[in-house]
Amino acid sequence: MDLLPPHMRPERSFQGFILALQRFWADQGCVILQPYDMEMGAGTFHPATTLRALGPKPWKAAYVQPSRRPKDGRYGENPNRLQHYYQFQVIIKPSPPDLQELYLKSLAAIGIDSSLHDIRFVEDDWESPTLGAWGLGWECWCDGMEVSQFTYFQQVAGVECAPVAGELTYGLERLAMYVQGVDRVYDLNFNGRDGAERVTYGEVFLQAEQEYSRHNFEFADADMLFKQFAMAEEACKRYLDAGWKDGEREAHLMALPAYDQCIKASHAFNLLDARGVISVTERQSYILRVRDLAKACGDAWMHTEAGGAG
Amino acid sequence: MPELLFELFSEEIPARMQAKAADDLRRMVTDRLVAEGLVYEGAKAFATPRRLTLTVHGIPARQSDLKEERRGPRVGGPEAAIAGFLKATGLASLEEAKIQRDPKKGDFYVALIEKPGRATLDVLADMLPVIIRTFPWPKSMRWGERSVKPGALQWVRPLHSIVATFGMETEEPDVVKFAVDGIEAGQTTYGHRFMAPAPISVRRFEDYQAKLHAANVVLDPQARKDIILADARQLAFAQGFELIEDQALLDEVAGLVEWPVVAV
Repeated sequence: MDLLPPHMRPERSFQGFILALQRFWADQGCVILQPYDMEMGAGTFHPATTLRALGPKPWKAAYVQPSRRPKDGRYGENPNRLQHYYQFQVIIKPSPPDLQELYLKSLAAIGIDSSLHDIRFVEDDWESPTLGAWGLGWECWCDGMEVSQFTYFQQVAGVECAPVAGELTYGLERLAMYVQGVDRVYDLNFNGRDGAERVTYGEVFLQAEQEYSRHNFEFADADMLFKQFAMAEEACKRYLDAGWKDGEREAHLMALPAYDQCIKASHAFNLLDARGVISVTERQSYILRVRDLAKACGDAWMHTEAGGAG
Repeated sequence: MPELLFELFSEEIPARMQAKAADDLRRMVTDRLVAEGLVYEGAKAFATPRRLTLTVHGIPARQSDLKEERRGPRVGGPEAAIAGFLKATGLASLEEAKIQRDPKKGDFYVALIEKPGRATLDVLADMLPVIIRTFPWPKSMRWGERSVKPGALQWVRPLHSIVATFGMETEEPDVVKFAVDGIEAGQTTYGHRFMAPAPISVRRFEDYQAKLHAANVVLDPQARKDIILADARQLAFAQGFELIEDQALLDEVAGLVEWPVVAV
């Protein structure tokens, strides 16, 4: 690695850590995207993964995605549970034969040397009921701790992946805590500076964790969220219907805006779930409703140019 | 007598599937050998996180020639039956058939069919790719560029290389020539992912196992378990700890590493 100023080194700076990963995957030919501008539970929801994984066209992308898991909030009191955290996502279609080697090199780029650490690939069958998606792969362990997920997508949005894409998801906070050697996420050095110039993860996010935990569990407006869910669901279906070119089911012109509504519905559901206003039986039916939207969006996407139609 | 070495080298196989997979591989290959008239002396299968390996020794180099008598229609039987008999047995005319006397039911034709045995190497080249394609993984997947084609190979995780050699102990063995979805069987395997990743050329099971060991791979799962348990006991004892033994955990850990090193 060329000489980085100390504040940019991945082992002492959270932002330097992210930049090192971005640079590594840029060097592998990925487009480096910015986070999707909507609330979502995981980087997989970003259309650059969900939709781009579908269809025959090659695709390589990497990006950070802020991930919102309302239920995981702990009012800032738990050292490593957060309702908002960062995932680093890599998607490569078709999956290259050396994807495991590339992953290990990316770990080296952020300061995890596989000759010094015990790295293992441990079975993990990935499934997203809301996305109608599944794949096979592993949790990647570093010295016994899960640090990434590695998945060969087999099906997404109800569509068989052809060709198969490889997906890597790094839990950035957890990895950075490991590399920086801190036990509490809020103690992460965010900007790599010392003394008065040092900014910690806690200074950036602790207040937000407290406020959003309060919001997610106690005050989120359930009536509004139920309505938002219904409106997003309705709009998604309407855009999907309206998107068929000339009313023929051959070419679709609005898969992406329709999919945004699917993302909205999914997040509204996650909030309602955290708020504790959805019963166990209702829960399943909400999941199925989001899945139906995702599948319909996947079908529409397959009839767009980027989805490989025409 | 000649022996077979067969290795399927892949990305990490789930620990809980390894023992059954090794067993399935042994059963599938030996069942088919026997069905092909190739009775072997012994077989042993192994699994690590990255490979399934089978060795079968004492396999004849060729199938024996088959002599079969096939009973045909009665002498003077309907023409269609005789034509069908000739066609099924490959005889040019009834003159090539024997007549079996039967005073009670009447005389009938018998065809003597001789089928020359095939070289075992050829039998294996037909058999092994079928076994790979029909292997009973609890869950399997597609990967890479080829996954777009119908009929693309499915395996538990991406399959990278295949070793298949057959031959006598005293001679350079032959490679069993076949390819599955672009992966050609050969003589090359690889050592430990981190400690000895370089390619290794192997001939038969004996040098294969020794070379893997030199490349930080303990092939035999039982040997890995023994190492882990013995070292864990010793380290715990040395530091005055009590080791709580857990067979399921031991099985799993032995399926996660190729070169166990115990640390306390």
